[in-house]
Amino acid sequence: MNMLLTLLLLMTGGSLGAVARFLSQKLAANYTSWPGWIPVLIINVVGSVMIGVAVAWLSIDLKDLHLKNLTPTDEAINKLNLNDLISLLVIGFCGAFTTFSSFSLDNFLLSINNKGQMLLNIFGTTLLAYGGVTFGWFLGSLAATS
Amino acid sequence: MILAVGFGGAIGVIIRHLLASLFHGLMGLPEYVAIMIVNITGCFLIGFVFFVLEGVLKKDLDSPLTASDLSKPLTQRGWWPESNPTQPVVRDFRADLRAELFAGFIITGILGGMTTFSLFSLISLNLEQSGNHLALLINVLGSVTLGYAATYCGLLCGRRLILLRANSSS
Repeated sequence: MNMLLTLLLLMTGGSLGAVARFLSQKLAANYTSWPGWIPVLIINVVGSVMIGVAVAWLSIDLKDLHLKNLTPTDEAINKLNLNDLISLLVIGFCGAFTTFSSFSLDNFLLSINNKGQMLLNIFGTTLLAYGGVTFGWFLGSLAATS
Repeated sequence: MILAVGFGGAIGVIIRHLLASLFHGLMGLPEYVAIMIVNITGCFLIGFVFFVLEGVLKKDLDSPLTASDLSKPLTQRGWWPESNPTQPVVRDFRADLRAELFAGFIITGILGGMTTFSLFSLISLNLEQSGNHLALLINVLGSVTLGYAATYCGLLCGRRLILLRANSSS
């Protein structure tokens, strides 16, 4: 696949993901009084579910089905694997939507004042994200095979 | 503001993609190690940038971080608000427009886009499904503990830089 197009798709997904995370954090800060790590936890878990669904769904071969619907003007796209096209967008989005750096910064700040919440954050995020990606994988394979 | 975040996110994703293909593709490391390295680098940078931005841009404002005694160890109490540890700091931190723009662009955009939790959990699932339990354990424990350590190192380095700046200007 074209290197430039790969980067472009990842970038598009990435900027959308970063903006989505920024807006969700802003929403949580304005309308709730939660400590700052809870929105990050929710974002990470939601992003994990999403990537599970997407990867399971897209790994089933939908390519032929999509390619038939392409218009002749899409010659450039026609040469590409449409699965990769969508999954690059999704991976870019989920990858930028979820964040490990904020998770770690929160852990450090919490470890100074509030070790209980730190443990809750660490175990909550890893376990829920792992459960989320498993659940997403299950949903995605159901959707793809039915 | 949204433009800054979106633009930063695009840059961060590209950095992650290039670093991951460098470690995974060119150097032949397993994929989980590549993502781990990227995540840990991002953790170091977030600690560093967080402290430096706060120290450089918020000198004129009443900041819990800059008002603190910088000679004390980082983990000692007194420089961080007691309750609700993260949110008030982040809110204060965002009060200044320049700080807000830089934080949005660098922290939320670039670093947030560069590090990822979804690929981390997806790779964990893949490792579990392929029966590679040792790698799964290394991935989860390594990412969390090394990420924590890297953030701490980043904060320490940022503080060192601020101290050097303060000493040279006085």
